[in-house]
Amino acid sequence: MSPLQVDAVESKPSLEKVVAKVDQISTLPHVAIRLLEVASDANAGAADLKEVLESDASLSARVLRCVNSSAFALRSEITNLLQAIAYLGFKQVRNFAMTASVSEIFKQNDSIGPYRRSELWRHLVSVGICARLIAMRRKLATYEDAFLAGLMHDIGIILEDQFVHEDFSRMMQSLPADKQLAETEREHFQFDHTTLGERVSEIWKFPEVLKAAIRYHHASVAYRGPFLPILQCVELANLLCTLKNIPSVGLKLVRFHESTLTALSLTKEDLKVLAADLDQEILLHKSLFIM
Amino acid sequence: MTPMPNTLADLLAGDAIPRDETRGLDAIAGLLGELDPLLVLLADRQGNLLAANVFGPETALPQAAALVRELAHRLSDRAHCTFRQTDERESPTVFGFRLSADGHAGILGGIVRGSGLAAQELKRLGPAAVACGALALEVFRLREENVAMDTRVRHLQAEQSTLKVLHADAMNAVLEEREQRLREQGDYAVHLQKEVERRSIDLQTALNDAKQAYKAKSEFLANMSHEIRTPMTAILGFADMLRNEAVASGAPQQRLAAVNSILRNGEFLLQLINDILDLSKIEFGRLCLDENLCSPVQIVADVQALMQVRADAKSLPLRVEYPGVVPETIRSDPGRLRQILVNLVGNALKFNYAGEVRLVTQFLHGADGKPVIQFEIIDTGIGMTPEQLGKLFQPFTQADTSMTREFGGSGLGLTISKRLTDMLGGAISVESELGHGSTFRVQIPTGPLEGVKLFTPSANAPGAPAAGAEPARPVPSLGPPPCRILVAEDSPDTQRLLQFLLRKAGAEVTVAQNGQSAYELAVQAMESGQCFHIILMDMQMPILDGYEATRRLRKQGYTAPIIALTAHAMRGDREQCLAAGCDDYATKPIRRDGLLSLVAGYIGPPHMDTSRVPADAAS
Repeated sequence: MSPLQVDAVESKPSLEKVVAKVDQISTLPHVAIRLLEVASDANAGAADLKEVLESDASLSARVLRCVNSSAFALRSEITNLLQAIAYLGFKQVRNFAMTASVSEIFKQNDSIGPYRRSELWRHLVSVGICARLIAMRRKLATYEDAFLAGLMHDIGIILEDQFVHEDFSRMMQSLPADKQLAETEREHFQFDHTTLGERVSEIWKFPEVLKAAIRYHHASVAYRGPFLPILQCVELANLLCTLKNIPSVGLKLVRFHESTLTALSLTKEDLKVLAADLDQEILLHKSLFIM
Repeated sequence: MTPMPNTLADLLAGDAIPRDETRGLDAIAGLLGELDPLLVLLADRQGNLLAANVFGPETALPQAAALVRELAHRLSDRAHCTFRQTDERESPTVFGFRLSADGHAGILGGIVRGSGLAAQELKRLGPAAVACGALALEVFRLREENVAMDTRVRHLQAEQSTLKVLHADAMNAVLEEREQRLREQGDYAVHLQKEVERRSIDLQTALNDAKQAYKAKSEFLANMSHEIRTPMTAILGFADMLRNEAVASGAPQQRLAAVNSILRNGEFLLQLINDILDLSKIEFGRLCLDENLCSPVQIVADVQALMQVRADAKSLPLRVEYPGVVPETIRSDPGRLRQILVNLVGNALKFNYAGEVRLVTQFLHGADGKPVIQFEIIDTGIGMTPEQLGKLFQPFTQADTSMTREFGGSGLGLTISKRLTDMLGGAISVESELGHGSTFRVQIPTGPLEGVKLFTPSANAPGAPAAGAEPARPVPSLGPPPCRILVAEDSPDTQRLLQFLLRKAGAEVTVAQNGQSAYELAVQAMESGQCFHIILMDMQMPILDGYEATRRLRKQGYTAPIIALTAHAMRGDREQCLAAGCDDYATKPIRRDGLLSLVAGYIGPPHMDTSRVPADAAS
């Protein structure tokens, strides 16, 4: 091994260093972490969610705007959070709130090569909506968790953008079109966005389902655990959104295991229908994309 | 691992489709592998069916041919159906079916299969084949759409069932919560019920305790009153005695005034005790009514006679008026009615300095239409303010506490009057104006009046004010011949008083210290033929009480009169005494006149020189 190569390896940002940095200055809005705490607390009820939301007036307003959007065609306007939770359920309102609070990170629109923060945001919300759609049609009662998993699955990318920005920029400027993002990431860092995301979600005490989705959204086959169906939904949603030209970082390369389709017992016909219906679903929930 | 598709179309089409310039037909041909025999129908502009073509893979050809023939048969008898399969060695493979009505001008349908279709081959097939291909494509598209529709329907059904399950879960949760709430409410209701029960028991206990305490208080008060009445007997009795002696011996005026003062104050004190006793009896529930036919006019006359002395003392005219008719008799308790009127007239006199006091008696019909007799006591006294009026009829309340000092009295008179009126079924009310006097109005139900005469009594003029103190009355005499009286009494003072009174009246008095000794003395006297003419038997005595001594004497066949002496002013005591065998009953304190009259009534005319007076004269 030549000394030059050693240097190159050493200069790669390590997972531990980045994780330590993230631990120091959490960029995830505090309210989002609290929302996830409430979400993973089996004893938490509507009142707890309401309390968290009320700590952020603009967040509450955004949630109500989402609730009153055309997606739900409510007969009368909903004017308070408890009403919203009663109408749409705890998890759906939680998801609105999570979406609204996470969107804060994406407000500064940087563009580096094919990468745009706003595009990544569009990708995340779309994957969330798509994963939810698939889950609903695969009769998964936890479809709202599928949304959350889809929304958060690429948190690792935004962490790279924020905490190893220079290396990330360098990587983005010379992103090879014929390689998976994770492969390229591992060339620049000692981790990729799935492993970084997983570690940070441990620190942030994300619910298990979220952690699993962040780690295995490209490789559900490698996952052993109770959230496999949700992971498969996210994996397929990621593929469909990328193919529909809503990619995460401008790369249209997605590694996809055909076994996932089999596992979800979906045929090509199903995919066609899902792909077609996704447009309508995204249109319905356009209020979620607002940053 | 499958190669990565770059577009959605790639993903959907899969990797089996070869690409070339005849893409449209190529695609159809590629898809044929997945299709059942495909029927293509061609029609002219009028809608007449011109041709029906069937496409299908080789394996489907026999089936397709059968289909076409069947169709041709239905189209027309003359319809031809041709079926051609290109030589298998040829490439590309072309299936073509021609079906025409006239057998000549038919339209050729065709489809090509396989790759590398030559341009000239297409040209040879002609526009009809292309049109046919386009139709097939259209049908395929529709089929595809149909499949997508079916798939979507499946998806939406799945989605619906997901939502349904969730909805059911949510509804169940809501229902469960509701049930839980209802259960909690039920539990709470039960809890409340229990709490109410518990509190009720507590309240009942507290109430019982309070009643017990109240009863104890009333009993204490009653007993205390009795205790006080006993010494009062001695005080008043001896004072009376002293006064009579003083009058008889012409003692100095100063001494006479002192004795009168003792008597007056003693009587006032006794009245106070009686008031307290009455009130405690009423509150204790021991005061019973003694309802009889009585004459209201007589009662009014009694009251007037009684109160005239006080009116005279203050030089106030006491007028009795009857503005109309009154019943001769009513059914009520005369004693209590008298007590009410005495109280009210007494008050009217007490709080009056100038003017007059009027007692107006009227027969009316009350608010409920029942006959009542109304007594109005109208004075021209100091009157009361509305605030003072509000506090009337409360125990121990005079209109103004400062009045107690000025006017004296226990403050119980009105309370007793009110309670007694209530007991008699009547009502008492008052109108007053400060400085202009008060009118107390008592209405008492008359009871049934069938056969009772109504008449107009003559209104009495106020009695002439008597000057000075009450003169000494003549002393009733109990002899001669000397009558023998046994006094059974444990209190030395009362012994002395009785001895004094009775001996003074001419009787021979023997004293027994207790019931046992009284019994022995009486039996001894009876056996020696020197029976006592009368026994005065105190009821509360040590060793053997008066009740038991009387019972034993009667058991021994002792028939001479026995008169009970008791400090108990309670109703029922009399009955108890009579039940023990007593002939009559006198309450302490002992008043000379009353006692002597009572005794005289029993020992017969030879021993009497006063008219007989009612047995209750002592009270």
